[in-house]
Amino acid sequence: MGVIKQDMKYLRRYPDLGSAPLSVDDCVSPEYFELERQRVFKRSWLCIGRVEQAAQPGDYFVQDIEVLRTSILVVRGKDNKLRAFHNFCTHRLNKIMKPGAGQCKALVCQFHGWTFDYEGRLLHVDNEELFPAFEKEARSLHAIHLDTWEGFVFINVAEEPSDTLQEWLGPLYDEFGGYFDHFALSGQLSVSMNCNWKLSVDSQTEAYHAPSLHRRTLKDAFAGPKNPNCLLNRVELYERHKAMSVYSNPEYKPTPAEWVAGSSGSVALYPATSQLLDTLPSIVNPERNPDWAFDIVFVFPNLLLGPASGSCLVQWFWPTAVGKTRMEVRNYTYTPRTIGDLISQEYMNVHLRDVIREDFSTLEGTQEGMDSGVQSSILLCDEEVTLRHTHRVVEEMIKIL
Amino acid sequence: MTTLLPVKFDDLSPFVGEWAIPTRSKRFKKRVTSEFSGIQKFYEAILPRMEDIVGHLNTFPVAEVEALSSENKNLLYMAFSFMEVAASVECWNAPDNEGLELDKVTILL
Repeated sequence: MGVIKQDMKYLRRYPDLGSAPLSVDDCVSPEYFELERQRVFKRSWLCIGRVEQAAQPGDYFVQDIEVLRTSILVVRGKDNKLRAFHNFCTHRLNKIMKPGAGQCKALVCQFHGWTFDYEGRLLHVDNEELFPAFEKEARSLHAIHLDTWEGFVFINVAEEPSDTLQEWLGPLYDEFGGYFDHFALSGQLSVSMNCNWKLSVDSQTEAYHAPSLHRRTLKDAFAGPKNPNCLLNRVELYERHKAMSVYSNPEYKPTPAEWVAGSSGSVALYPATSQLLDTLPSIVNPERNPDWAFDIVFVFPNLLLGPASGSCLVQWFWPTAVGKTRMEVRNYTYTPRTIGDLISQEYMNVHLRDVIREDFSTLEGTQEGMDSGVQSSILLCDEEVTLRHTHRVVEEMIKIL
Repeated sequence: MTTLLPVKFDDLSPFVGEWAIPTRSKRFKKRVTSEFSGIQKFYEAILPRMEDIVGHLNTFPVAEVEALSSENKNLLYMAFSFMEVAASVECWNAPDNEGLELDKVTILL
């Protein structure tokens, strides 16, 4: 692709990703989406929640996963192990548990009362003598591979996953060292948008948009004399996943409410305090850059972690159709030690929601643009190498029959 | 005799009816359906008192936040509402930003 400009540092580092315009086809084609369903989502380890959503034996949660066309039931057994099943009764395939979470003595289908234990074994059939002879052992719930990492629950619906979760997570696996143990859920949103799931991933994995899209909400918290274009501090592309660091503007003067939030509790703003920098996992802000604001860690294909100063944003991306995505956004903060801390955390929850609403405000318009057919490809800058990477990883997975 | 707020914050009582809102989703709704002038009046009244409000509420253990008296709860909810509306005044000069439409976002917590 011709001359590499001086400042194309990511093209230099990741030459295989190239610099050609990116086709919009993979965001608009129903056929491509079907391939993504079959070859990406049905073969990947997908994060579906957190271990604390089913903390005690008998606790369960249900998540309907449109892209897998299934409903998944996660339940904690008497042996304290989490297990996942397709949430359908092996009798007439009725959905067993309703979406949500709770505690149960056994898994009971409301249709005819078939009863399963926490390990999915069929325990009881009403009027069993009415059936032709059958093996109860062969009518267990359909099990799904489940494993956990740093408190996140992952499932894989493949019969034989090609990788263990540890292999799938690769270099991320060992790097967080219990980081999430210090956090408690403090904010949660559900968002539905008419856009392809990759557009929502893309919107959260580059910072080139910040000076324009967030010009009023983030003011000059990020772009400043040191980094006027809000360039990423670093981008690390792994086999499937990626990590990046976002600088703040050290000249930035907090607004009055930010100052109150920062001085009342554990939510530090930008830049992070040096004390906090010492406690970060080594993979987060690895340079210990004092101007650091937050990191973005994208765990392909559907989980994004945003470790920041005293909080960690977590997002789940769930495609529901080629042009439809459901997002779940949670904010984790330290367990509050004072009421002032709650007030500080309130600022962060409100702030993140407002920023995310800005992030997502462009995506339906972008999808409309792509659907219009007015342009078959989009031109990306070097900073948007992360988008190239995501779309490439999908493309490579789809090539595998 | 019932009071709406702890005695030393009595001057903020006129804001209790509108802004002592117990949940985040209701505070958000209040913000986006309010006139900017009302938001600004509330923000300007609370801002100079925030340090005192935090100091006062910090005298109670966070583990017992649910058991706070109704006056202290009102004060806490107003502090939360202050955080809710801060960007309206400090950033947008309007109740809301130009973010994703409200009907696409559900605040679960």
